[in-house]
Amino acid sequence: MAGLVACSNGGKGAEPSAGSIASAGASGTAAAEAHDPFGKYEQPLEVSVGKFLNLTDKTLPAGDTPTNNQFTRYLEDKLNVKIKAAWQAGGDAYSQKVSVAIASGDLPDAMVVYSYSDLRKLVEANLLQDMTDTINDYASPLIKDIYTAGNDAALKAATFNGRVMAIPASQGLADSMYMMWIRQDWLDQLGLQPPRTVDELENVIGQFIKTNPDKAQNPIGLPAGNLYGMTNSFPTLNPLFAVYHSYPNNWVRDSEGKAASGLIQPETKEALGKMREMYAAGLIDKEFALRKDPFEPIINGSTGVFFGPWWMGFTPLNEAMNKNPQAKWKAYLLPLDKDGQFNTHVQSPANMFYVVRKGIEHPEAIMKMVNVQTQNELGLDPDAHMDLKVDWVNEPLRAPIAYPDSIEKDSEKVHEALDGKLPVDKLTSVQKRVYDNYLKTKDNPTADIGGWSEAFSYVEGAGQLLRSFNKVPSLYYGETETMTTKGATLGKLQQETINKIIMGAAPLDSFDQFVKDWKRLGGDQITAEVNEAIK
Amino acid sequence: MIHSKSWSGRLADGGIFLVLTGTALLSLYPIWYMVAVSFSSSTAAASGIVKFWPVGFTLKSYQAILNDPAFFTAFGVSVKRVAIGAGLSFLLTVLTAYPLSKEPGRFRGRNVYMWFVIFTMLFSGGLIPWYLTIKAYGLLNSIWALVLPGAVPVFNVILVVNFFRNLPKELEEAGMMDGAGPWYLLSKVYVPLATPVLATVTLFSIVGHWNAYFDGLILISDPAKYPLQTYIQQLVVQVNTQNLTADQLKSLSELSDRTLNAAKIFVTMLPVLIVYPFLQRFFIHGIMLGSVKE
Amino acid sequence: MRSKGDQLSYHLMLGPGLLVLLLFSVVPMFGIAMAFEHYVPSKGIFHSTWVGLDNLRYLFQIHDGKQIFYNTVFIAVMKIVSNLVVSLVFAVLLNELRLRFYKRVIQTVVYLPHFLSWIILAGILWDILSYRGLVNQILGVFHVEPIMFFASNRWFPFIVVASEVWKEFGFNTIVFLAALTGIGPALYEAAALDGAGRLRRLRHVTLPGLTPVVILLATLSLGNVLNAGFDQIFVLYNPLVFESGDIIDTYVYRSGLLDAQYGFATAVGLMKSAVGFVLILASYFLASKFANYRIF
Repeated sequence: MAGLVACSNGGKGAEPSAGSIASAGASGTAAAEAHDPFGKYEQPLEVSVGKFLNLTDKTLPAGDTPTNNQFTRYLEDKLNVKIKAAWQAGGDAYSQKVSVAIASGDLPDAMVVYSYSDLRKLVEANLLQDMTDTINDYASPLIKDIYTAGNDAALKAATFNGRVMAIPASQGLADSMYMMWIRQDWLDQLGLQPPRTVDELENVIGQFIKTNPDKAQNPIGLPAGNLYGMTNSFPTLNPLFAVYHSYPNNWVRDSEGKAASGLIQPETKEALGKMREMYAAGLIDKEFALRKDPFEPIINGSTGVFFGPWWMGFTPLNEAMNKNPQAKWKAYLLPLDKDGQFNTHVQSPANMFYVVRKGIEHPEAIMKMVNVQTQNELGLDPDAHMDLKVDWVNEPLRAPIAYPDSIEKDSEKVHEALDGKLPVDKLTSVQKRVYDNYLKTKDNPTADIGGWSEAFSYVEGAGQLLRSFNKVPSLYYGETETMTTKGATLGKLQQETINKIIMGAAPLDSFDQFVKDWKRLGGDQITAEVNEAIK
Repeated sequence: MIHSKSWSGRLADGGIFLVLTGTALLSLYPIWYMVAVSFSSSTAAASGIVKFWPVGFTLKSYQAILNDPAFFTAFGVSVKRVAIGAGLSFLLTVLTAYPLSKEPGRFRGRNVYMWFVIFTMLFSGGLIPWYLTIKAYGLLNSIWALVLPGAVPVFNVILVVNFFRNLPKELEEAGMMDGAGPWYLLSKVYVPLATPVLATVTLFSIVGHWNAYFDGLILISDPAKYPLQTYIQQLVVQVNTQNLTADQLKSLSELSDRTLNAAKIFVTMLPVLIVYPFLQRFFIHGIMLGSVKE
Repeated sequence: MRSKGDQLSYHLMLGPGLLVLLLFSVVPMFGIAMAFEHYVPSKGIFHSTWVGLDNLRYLFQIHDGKQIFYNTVFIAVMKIVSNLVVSLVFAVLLNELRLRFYKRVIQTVVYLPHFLSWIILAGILWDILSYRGLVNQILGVFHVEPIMFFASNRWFPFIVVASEVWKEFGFNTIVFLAALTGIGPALYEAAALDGAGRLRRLRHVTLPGLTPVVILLATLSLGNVLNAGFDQIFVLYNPLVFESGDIIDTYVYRSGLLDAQYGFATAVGLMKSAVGFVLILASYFLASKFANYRIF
């Protein structure tokens, strides 16, 4: 069967160099029914999905639609699976549709949920198919390898009472590693070195504000839309916390070896003490907690330093470059702790999940679809012949399954090619595009700001992640019962107290009372639950 | 009307003029600001330097709208929705309000019905049961799901009831002397006299239907059937960067394009700007009719 | 004395409207049962576990519950009163304006902010009220230290109320203007012939003419006494003003309970409706008993 597909589809036959996994699919022909991850169905099989749309996407060729395009046609060819959209929605509408589907129990055969809490709700509502055996039997070797590379953290994230209740996606971890972005041209102009310690950072920010090189109307200190974001939420102060070994988002080992919230540790108090000083001196944005759009000061030159993840070229630095093409932004893994080390927390690889409706006749069909898509996305399916310009959002179900270090790997290969250590034809299609964009835009970013965004993010931002530094994973990434029920109370207490301490509206020692209150109002119970969960 | 020509009267006129103009300017500013943003370069908008005049003037946003066929599809759906929805609401509002405006002595059970109507305005079963009900009626993904559930706007009904009640009782008495029945009185006497309030509630239901996005979000599942505001809502998303994937980053800059969003919001406001002054003619119309009858 | 025919006609007229309300408002009310259940989607509304008043009790056990309840009522009542007063004054002033065209223009313009989302208005408000924004610059001229309006528990509720009025007063204004057209010009002419000045006409003709609709709007808005405006406060507030700005809806939203615990969400909604309904009932009976006036 599978052999037939390969012929009818491309007619060119698989290249031997295409990798062992693709041929594993083809060799499944003999043992047709025996758990072939790429096995084609005899009869057409209809699968209804909740379809995520990106309405700004313009990459589909004329005549194609989000539900009928090269991806859906390929799935039909390859697996004899026909896609039917139960509903289609983009942006907020998608999460509304998911919420209604969960609450009303009216689920399509499959959809993607973009948060752990949605998954948890679905499991508690008893609406999901147990995927443990399906994944065991039908996940492609590639996907199993990706899960293994992440220490099975993705599978663990989808596990409830010992059963895997969804096909977890797996993301690169790079998004959670915050670094310092700074105006190199300002440093050079003032004859300053990149700040290696917090003291040096304070000096640099002070100089920036005093000299105000871009003549901004209201120069400010460090912006912080969010004080300590886990992933992608920025600008934050994460690296400042990490200098003091404080990881407010993490579950860390306490002195007794038990799991405890990083938020309430003495290290956090120490970090807050420093931030309080900096705020009083105007080195942290006076209005950090109130600002409606924290990107504005970055774009209009009011600040020359902030903390964010590797992809800042995509936003806001693209607009910052448009505003001031002379600006030279650089990324550094700074400031360092007292031992000269850079620290960062890292996220869970699995924040998105393919969920399958309970009672579906062919749960393995969804797994097979994911197998085919993942093979194609990583450029390992020689039969696919896809137009690479078409956005992957047009796949019927879309959540990436990528190696934990996928961003770093891409960046590394591009760097090697740029240094002439790797032939350009060994780059994957994505890496090649980044490489070309870099050469095209490195001297003139605004000529093609879209190309620059990508090249700059991969080469400059992700390039930093190739250095060695201290990555601190959390002991637990899930959400326990009490986290839900006490979340608002504890969240309010925490946000109020910490903002007030930094802004000087409450004494630093109110942190001690906060720790007591936090524990009393549910924190102790949550801690017990977390320790139970990771036992 | 007779106006005093005294100094104090003129001073008062001037004062009133100034207060009204000032307030109107305050109300106008946000719209003016949006228009300024919509004509500015996206960089200027993102850096927050647009305050009053466009910075880096460009028509790019409006060109983008003209080149977006989905925008016009959704526009068409909204026009259809307003036409059916506001028409239906007008009919049902008038029909429901007239009997309820009668004294309990004249229409037995009037108070029971009135409290029933108020009750439905305040209480609801919640989103999910509402969704399940409409699904059970087989209305999902059709234009009727957008117009039928709200076809009796209770607030409007109560306004009209109130207006009917305050019309001179003699009108009805006189009509009945001539042997006119309720249907005749309603259509030939009450509706013409109530033109101002009917124009008002019609404006409200047009605006309500035009601006509604949430029901479209929940009840419609096919993008070609989304009304305009639901469509816009899916473009003007608050980007939740928490769960971005590497390939979503590319679209991030497009999503956060403030200038395009401002232009879209302004374009969606235009029809109302056109319809409103048209409806205002009926406000004036009502006065003249009233004076003739008196 | 009424004929059977008239009664029948009245019922026929009411029929379609009542049917729509029955089908789309009353039928879904089976969902109110969720307020007393531990609702599990896979079991459905009719088979989930009955927990009585537990969901409601939970609402009264939340930390800082008193403060949140107070904030909600304070902001909501301030909004109701300010909105009525401003739009009433505005409508009356507009009615005094002689330039008919200008009158229409202004009437249209003040309705416009209603069309903008809170996200857009919040951006503008923040700009004006920020540390170095317009207001603080003006205050600076008078040597007043800059104020962080959005961080101040003293100012925040007033910012919320004032901006709500800014966005929505045009709506009530339209209702009042429509009601003003119902006052026959003859009354004004009679008053003028009696030699009544502008203020006396206002007191004896305009305001009495508007009273019924003012009372009506005020009574109906009592139904919203626990709705202080989620969309608005959610985009305007920040942790520093939780003390004065956190309301029931924002708290419940942050708790994430709305998504997960449907029973709780329904219980909150039911409580808000019930309080509103009781207040409306009470004002109806008080008005009819003491002023012999029927609101509806």
